Amino acid sequence: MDDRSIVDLFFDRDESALSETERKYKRYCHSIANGILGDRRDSEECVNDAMLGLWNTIPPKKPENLRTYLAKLTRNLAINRYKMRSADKRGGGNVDVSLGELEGCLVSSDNFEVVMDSMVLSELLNSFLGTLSQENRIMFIQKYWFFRSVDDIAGDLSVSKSKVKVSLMRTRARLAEFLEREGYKV
Amino acid sequence: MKKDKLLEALDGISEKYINEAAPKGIGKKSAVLSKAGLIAACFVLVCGIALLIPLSKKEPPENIPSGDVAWGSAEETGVETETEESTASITEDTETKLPPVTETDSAPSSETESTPGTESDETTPSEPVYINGLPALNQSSLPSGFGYEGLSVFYPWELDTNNPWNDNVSLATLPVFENYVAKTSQGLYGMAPIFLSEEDMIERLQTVAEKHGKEIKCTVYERIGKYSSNDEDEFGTLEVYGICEDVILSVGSMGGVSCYFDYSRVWYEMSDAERAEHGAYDIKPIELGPLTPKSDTVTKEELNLIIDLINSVFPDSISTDVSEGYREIGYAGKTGEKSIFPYVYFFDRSDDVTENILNYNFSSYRIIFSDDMSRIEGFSLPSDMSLYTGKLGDYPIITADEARAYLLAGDYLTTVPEFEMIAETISYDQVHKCELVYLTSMLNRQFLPYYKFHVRIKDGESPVVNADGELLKHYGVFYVPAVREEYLLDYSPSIGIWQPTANK
Repeated sequence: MDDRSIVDLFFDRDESALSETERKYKRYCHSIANGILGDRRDSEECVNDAMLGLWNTIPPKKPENLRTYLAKLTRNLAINRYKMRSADKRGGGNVDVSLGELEGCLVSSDNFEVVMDSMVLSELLNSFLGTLSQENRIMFIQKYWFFRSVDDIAGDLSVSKSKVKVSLMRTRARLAEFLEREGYKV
Repeated sequence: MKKDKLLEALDGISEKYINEAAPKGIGKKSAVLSKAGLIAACFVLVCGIALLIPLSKKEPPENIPSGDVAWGSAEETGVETETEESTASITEDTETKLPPVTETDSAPSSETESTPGTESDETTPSEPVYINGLPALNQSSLPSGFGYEGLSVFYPWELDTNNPWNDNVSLATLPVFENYVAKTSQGLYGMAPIFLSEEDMIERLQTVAEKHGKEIKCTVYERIGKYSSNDEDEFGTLEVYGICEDVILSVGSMGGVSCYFDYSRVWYEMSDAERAEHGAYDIKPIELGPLTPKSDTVTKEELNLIIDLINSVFPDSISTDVSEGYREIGYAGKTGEKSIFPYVYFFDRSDDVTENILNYNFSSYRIIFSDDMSRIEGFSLPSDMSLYTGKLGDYPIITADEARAYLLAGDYLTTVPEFEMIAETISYDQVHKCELVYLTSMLNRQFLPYYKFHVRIKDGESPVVNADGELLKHYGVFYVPAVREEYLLDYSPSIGIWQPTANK
């Protein structure tokens, strides 16, 4: 069933919308959640929450792209769950490690929160991503949006792990340069 | 707090980029082109990026001529059992018990035992998925590396190969093979994944030498990177050479056997002492004289004369019942400069078309010539499929017309970037060639057949015209699975990097 038909089922309040979505996207959602949480059971619960989230938000929302909408929903739920889970044991997970890498190349200013509005940073990130080759961009987003491991990215793109690592390192350096050019001193 | 800000900022990344980067899925093993595949494929080296564009599982194209291809849900297509976990499990739980090392000259004919499909609606994660009694298949991967897969030629016939499949071949089924030695990542320099142990390679070398009446005087090793069968390592490769008095034999990590008529392959791998003792045998290339191939195609008659010459040096190495030989050509996309690779490929000819197709894809011979084609410097025997594959079964396939309909509907695999395409969708007149091939990338868990289409793409910024006024035309390669859709459970927009039609 295509995505538009599934969304129509949600609008009709037809519960088969959930089973169709699960059948089509459960693995996908699970891979996103598991990349962040690294725990099968937590990921399962997260995916179930995401399905519930779909049911509760469609309607009124009518996503143009159901897959991406669901990906964002799953990611946010997984991050929230991750934060709750790791409140008393910071660091070590994919999210912390990945964000730590990105943080290191992004800023050195102590008043980062004052000068760097997240909306502005989003816009800059999108501009920066547009300058990357498709392969480098995919690696970057898989690492820092999907929080996937280097191993998984390498497997996904059929390239060596070292290639992924080098690409990410160079992309981070370029991002730092880009932000500096845009007026955000590193 | 900085991390929270970053999370917020990352949340604002454009949906098009998220969609583009969506992972293919857990447990999915991707692949790159094997060494042999790299040689076989010509890449248009422009600024494209080799990313996989997976086939999307969506509404059926409206213009399938025969109209009997099953699309839609598992229930509609007769899937016996399907759960998310069980679908994933077939990529993860492959036992890699290898058969003993033996030398054979043709593709394996024995089938692996096929477990009947389960009838229950509930499966455990370890249970494979069966459809109509056949194991469900995973998506294959395309070549990765520089550029995208394609070819630039002036004339349509320059796209021809000696593929035994053609439009007149009518097949209801084709075999699909499990790859016992699929690896999760590319070896160093795109070399083949490792699976033979060093001891097995030496044993194989001895077996081949004895079979052809040769005595190995000295064994030389060519190592690149770390030779390890550990899946987690960035594995290198190893080639073992046996220096005989008139030839040099070699065995690669995949068990492939080659024979060389000059020292150049091993000279720098030999120690000073080995060169002193074994570096002056009468090993020299075979002069072809009037037999030197003059055209891109080497006729069966010419080839047989060449094979006779080879057999005179290396007895009984190649049968004379072979296909005609095929030379690869290519033109540089920006200059139109012609390249002819100094190899001729051919395969054992059979009366059975399926066997011919398998031999073409998996068991080709390769003769290595000097650049001017006047001397034979060596040859490679076909790889022994039985060493690393087992037959999963004969799968129903679609016709070329049906495949073309999928192609035109946007359901294909390709490495061609969107910006190189003439239009967002492929039109009938842009499709210039169709052939049936197996995607034999060694990282694939299964080897299955695909229809391979050459599709005209953009001409480039500076069109090249030859002396006859003919424009150099660029063709991108697009694949459509030949196996019927219902057997390809892993195909889904949910695991794709980018689907050209999924969200229309």
